[in-house]
Parts: sequence; C-alpha cells; structure tokens
Amino acid sequence: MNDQVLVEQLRRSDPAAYRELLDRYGQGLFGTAYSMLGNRADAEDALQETLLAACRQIGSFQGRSSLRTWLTSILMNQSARLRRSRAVRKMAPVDESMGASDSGGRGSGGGDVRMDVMASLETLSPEHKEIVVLRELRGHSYDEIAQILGVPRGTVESRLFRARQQLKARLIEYAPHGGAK
Amino acid sequence: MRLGDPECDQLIRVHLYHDGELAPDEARQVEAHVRGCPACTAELAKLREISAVFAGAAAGNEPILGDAAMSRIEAKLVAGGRIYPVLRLARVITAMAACVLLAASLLLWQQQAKANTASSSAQSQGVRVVAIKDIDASPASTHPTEIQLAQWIVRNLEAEQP
Repeated sequence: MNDQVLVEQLRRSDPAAYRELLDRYGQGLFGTAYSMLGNRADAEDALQETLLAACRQIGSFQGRSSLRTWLTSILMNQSARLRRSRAVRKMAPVDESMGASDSGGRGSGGGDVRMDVMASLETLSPEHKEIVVLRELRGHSYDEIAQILGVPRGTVESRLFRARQQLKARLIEYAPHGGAK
Repeated sequence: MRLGDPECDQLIRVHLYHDGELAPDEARQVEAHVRGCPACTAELAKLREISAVFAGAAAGNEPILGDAAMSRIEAKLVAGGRIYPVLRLARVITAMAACVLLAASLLLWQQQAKANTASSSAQSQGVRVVAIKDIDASPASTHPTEIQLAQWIVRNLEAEQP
C-alpha cells in the first residue's frame, strides 16, 4: 500500500489505516519527538496529538509534500506547543523514563553518547535544535526541512550552518578518535 | 554567502557539499576548492566528525515506541475515526446553515433597500400626504388660531365670489 492509498483510506476513516499509519510512521515520528522533547511521556503525547490532528485534517492534505514530511511538520508544531506549555523534564529524568519504558527503551551501549548529544542539543535555541534534529538525527533533506518548518531553503542553509558552528565546540570532545581541533 | 567566518567565504558551500545538497558540477567545484583551502578542509573534517557523533548516538539507541503505547494511540485514533464522519457532517450542516442565513440576510437587505428607495423617490417628487381633518369634529385637536384663520379664508373666498 503506498501513501496515496493510505491517505484515501484515512479519508474514509478506515480503522485498518490507523494501524498502518502507526506502523509506517509511528516509530520515526516518536524518535523525532523524543529528540525534541527529551522524554518518553511527552514524546508519546506529541505523537498521539500529531496523528489525531493528521487524521482530523487529512482532507486538507494535498500531496504537495510527502506524507512523512507533512506528518513531521505537524509533529514539530505539536512538539513546540508541548515545550511551551510544559516544564519539559531535563536530562536526568530521561534515563529513568527510558529505562521504565514499556518493552521499549534503548539498545545496550552507546547510551552515554546519546545523552551527550541530547545535552548538547539542549544548549541550542529551539530554532537551531529543531533543524539539527531534522538534519542530523532524522536525515531530512534541506527541501524537506524547508517544507516542514515553513521557511525558505536559504533560511535552512544559514540556520543549519549557525547551529553547527555552535555545536562544534560542544560536541567535538565526543567525536571519534578524540575529536578534531 | 559569507556568514561571519573570517577564513573563507565558501564555508557554507562546504556544508551543502557535506549534506549532499549540491548538483554534481557544483560538488566538483567545491571538492577542487577544498583541496586548496586549509580552512574548508578543516571545516569539512569537523562536519564529518559531528555527523559521525550524531550517527553514533542514533545507531541502536533509538527510543522504541512500545507495543502498549502503540495500542493506546491506535485506540485513540480509532475512537477519533468514529467521530470524524460526524464532525464532517456537522461541519457541512453548519456551512449550509450559514449559507441559508447569509442568503436570507441579503434578501431582507435588498427588500429594505428597495423600500427606502421608493420612499425617498416619493419625497423628492414633492408628493405630500395630507390628512384632512374635520375641524368641527375635533376642535380640541387643532389650535384655535388655525381655526379662525381657516374661517377667515373661507369667508373672504365666499365674499369674492360673484
């Protein structure tokens, strides 16, 4: 089933389509939300609100971007709304919430690296953080990021450049082989 | 584009090259430039290390959305799916009601405008509606001097007639 068929089924409120939507995009969107919000509970809330909003507004989806890009755009808005409305839990509870996950959690090893990366992301402004997450952790292209954030491509280029300049100093000590100077 | 780095104005193109965002021709130009530019060489090396850190952080460490969470969200979506058709129907009915209300308002407004036009037209042509009252039948409603004046006019008119 391709995305076009999935969209048609969602428009008909076909219950099977909801499971397909979750299977296809749930994990990736959850990872993005987790990177943005830093804890499982908020990431689950953001994912749920995103998918509910997407199913409610599926009639307005015109296919100008991919379904993944459209969903990510909604997710980023939901994450920003959650971040504003809640005192987002900081890094210490992240470990606890990940460990207490229902059958989930992270793989063994490398957790410290992720913690360091997350900690360095937290030091960025929200605008810089979201663009680094979308590019470095989720692998979106510049054009996709421009669509997701609703900004010109040139803004993506300059914003990502500046975000990386800030990250360089903070991340370099975690880089392989001791990092570049 | 130069973004504040004093060493080379090609740095942002190095970022685009690193991210695979350049056309093949442009990518070859940047490769040639990087080979002869220490600042861009160092920048590219740093970019690769930053991306390696993120790739290392992501690999095998992706927080997993568990089955229980998936089921919870699916249940919410299915419940929402039962409501969406009703909501869509309600939206259609609301839109239709709004159209009817708008049409009725326009009709009333047009009729009012026509009535106003007819009234002002009549006034502009000098038509007056005069209520002729029987002076004798309701003397109290008319001022005495007006009665006297009217009687005087009638008497004079009668006197002038042959």
